Amino acid sequence: MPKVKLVLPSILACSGDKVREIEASTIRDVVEYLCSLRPDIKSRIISHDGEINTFLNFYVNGVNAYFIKGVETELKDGDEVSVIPALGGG
Amino acid sequence: MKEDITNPTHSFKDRAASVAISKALEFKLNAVGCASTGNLAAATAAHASRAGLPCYIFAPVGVEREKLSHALSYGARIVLVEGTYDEANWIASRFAEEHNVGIVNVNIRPYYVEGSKTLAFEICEQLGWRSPDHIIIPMASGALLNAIDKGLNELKTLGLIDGDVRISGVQPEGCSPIVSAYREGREYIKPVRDINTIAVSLAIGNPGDGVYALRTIHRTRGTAVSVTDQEILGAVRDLARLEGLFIEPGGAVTIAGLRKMVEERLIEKDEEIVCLLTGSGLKTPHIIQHYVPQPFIIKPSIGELKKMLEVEKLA
Ligand SMILES: Cc1ncc(COP(=O)(O)O)c(C=O)c1O
Repeated sequence: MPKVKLVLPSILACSGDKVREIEASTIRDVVEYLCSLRPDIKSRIISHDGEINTFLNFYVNGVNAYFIKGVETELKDGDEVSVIPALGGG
Repeated sequence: MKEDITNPTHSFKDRAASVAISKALEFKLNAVGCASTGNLAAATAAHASRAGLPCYIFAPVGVEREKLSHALSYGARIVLVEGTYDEANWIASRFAEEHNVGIVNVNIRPYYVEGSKTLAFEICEQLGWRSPDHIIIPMASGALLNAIDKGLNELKTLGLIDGDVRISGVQPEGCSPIVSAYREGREYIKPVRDINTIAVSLAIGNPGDGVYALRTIHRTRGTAVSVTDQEILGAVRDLARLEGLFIEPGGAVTIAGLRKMVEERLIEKDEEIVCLLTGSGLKTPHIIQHYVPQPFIIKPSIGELKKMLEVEKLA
């Protein structure tokens, strides 16, 4: 599996590192990793139809994965995935 | 109409920025900032300068120049992101994570909302400590709509008002992810990226509080409508000509929305309705060119004045 750089917001990193390297071939793998970190908020990460909930945004090299292929967005070695909580305005 | 344009930077955002920045001082943060669709920029910058804190603003390149100049005048540093508000926002989030900076709509956001809710307090206060039947609110991220709901609920808990208030939201058609979800009966938001609206201050394609706004609208038996640029311009014009209020497009959507709700019979005849007007027209002066006649230019001569009056059939 490709090794990607995952950048987490403090609220998800808890006391661990905000930047970590994980193995993931799609955003779905990243989501599963997050769900294993924080099983308590799984339903907030993934909606009932299996898509990413917009409470969290996954930016792949600066582009919101929602606009690429959602959870099916493919990742390659060295990609940076930034997890950004939903934000208000504006 | 609840016009909220006489705050220090002429939009309701002063309420939010003033509380958030007071908290930033309490937390001893080194600097503050925000991601902005325009109005929050000037508000954050003004309150930061009063607090003596450096201010960093992230905005999409499409934000009106007047609003940027306004923020710049307070000494803010502005970073224009070649993309949408949502892209400016993720850059701001990363900036907040990596530096000890209070970004008012990111890491000190709970306080931002505490500021916005005072608008609900003021509406009830000005009505003589009672609530209206219905409040119509402009929506970008949906934060203000929920803040109004929070304010009303607090007054109710305190026993200062009673009765239920319908809460409705309006978005510009060219950026209406919350209204689309409402219309399609969805409980979740589909973010939009192709945004095209004259109400630039409401151009948020991925509304962070959208889901909560939907719930609030449903819970209070409110409604949600979107309005076209033409309808928004009509509202801006009518507010000025009929009420003497010069309001920016983002703040005037509520009047266009009200008109639509009446046409679609979403409003009862005897309802007492408050429409929020959240930003001043002086912030978007260029838009009036769409509907006002050009001024007359004459030589300083009475003859020329008379000629002009004849053309205008005023003589
Ligand atoms: C004039 C004006 N009205 C209303 C809003 C409401 O925005 P939100 O729904 O993000 O709280 C904004 C936000 O930028 C605004 O500038």
